[in-house]
Amino acid sequence: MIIPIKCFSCGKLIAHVYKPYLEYLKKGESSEKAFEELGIKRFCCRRMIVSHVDLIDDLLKFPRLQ
Amino acid sequence: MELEKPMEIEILEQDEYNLRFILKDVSIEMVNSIRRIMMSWIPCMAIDEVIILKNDSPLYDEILAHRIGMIPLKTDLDSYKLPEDCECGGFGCPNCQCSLTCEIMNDTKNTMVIYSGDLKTNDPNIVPVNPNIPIVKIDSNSSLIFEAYATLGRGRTHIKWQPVSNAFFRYLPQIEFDDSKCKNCPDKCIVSRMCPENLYDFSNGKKPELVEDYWKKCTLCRSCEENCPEDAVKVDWNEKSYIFSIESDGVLPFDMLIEKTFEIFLGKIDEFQSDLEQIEVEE
Repeated sequence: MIIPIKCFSCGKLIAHVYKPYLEYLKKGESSEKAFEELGIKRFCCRRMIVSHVDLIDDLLKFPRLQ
Repeated sequence: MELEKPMEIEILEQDEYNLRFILKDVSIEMVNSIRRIMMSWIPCMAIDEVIILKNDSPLYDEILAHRIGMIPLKTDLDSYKLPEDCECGGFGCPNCQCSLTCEIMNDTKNTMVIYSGDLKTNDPNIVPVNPNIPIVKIDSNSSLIFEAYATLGRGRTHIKWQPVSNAFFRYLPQIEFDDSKCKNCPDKCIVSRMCPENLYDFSNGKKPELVEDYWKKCTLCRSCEENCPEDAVKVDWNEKSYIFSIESDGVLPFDMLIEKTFEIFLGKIDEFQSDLEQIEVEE
């Protein structure tokens, strides 16, 4: 849906890194380099970002039931 | 309780979010209790109550409230009290609570992301550690209005009140490497190739050399010990020294964190002692 605020396994704050990460990928950098620059070291935090699908953009297209 | 020697602390690296130090001359039980106090007993600030007045976002109120609660806030331990210790009895007063509000109307034609920086706080000391944490996305002509109350709490209740994201320690590695046994296998060294941290330097092509600060990186995986055909390597560790790493979100500064840890630790020992004295043992 939307990027979780903390890593599920270790509790590190990761939400603020998702947008810069996508920008790195857009520039053509490898995700490994992006993670190094952004200070995401462990694979538990890395999988949070790599495996995330931002579905909230799709859901915004539909009217919400109030 | 008297220790044989006073505990020694030597800081290896320190920056805004990481601290690594060596602890010497303490028992493993003591180091572990320090770690556990850091993770679950140090109070820190997090949003505990959210009143949602308008929510046009695709997220349910409950999920939104959970996300808001997870945002780490900078903590001021001197001016706030834990709700259970407060005179108001946990009901909520300016001594134990801080209010944060957010009122956003999206007038633009595009979707809009609401960040933690959009939270308005009435105490400038209690702010989100990072202003770029996305909370929700809202559509055009939608709005999000809520009022949130941050209180002090402890990590044992919920992880949003955990001031450290990761705290761990390991024994200080000690590797004995006898390179006189390396004569029998010149030109190639399995040990240097197998070490996952590349701690053996084999660039000269004759004798592998153990890197000087290997103890900083060595994970005690014993791959060198198991793979050496000549048994030249012996991996061991120092039973009384530990490398301790703490990773924080920036909720509390490290000096405050460690000071508070020992304050709570000594308080717990006193509590235990006074409880022991009250117990009457039946013979």
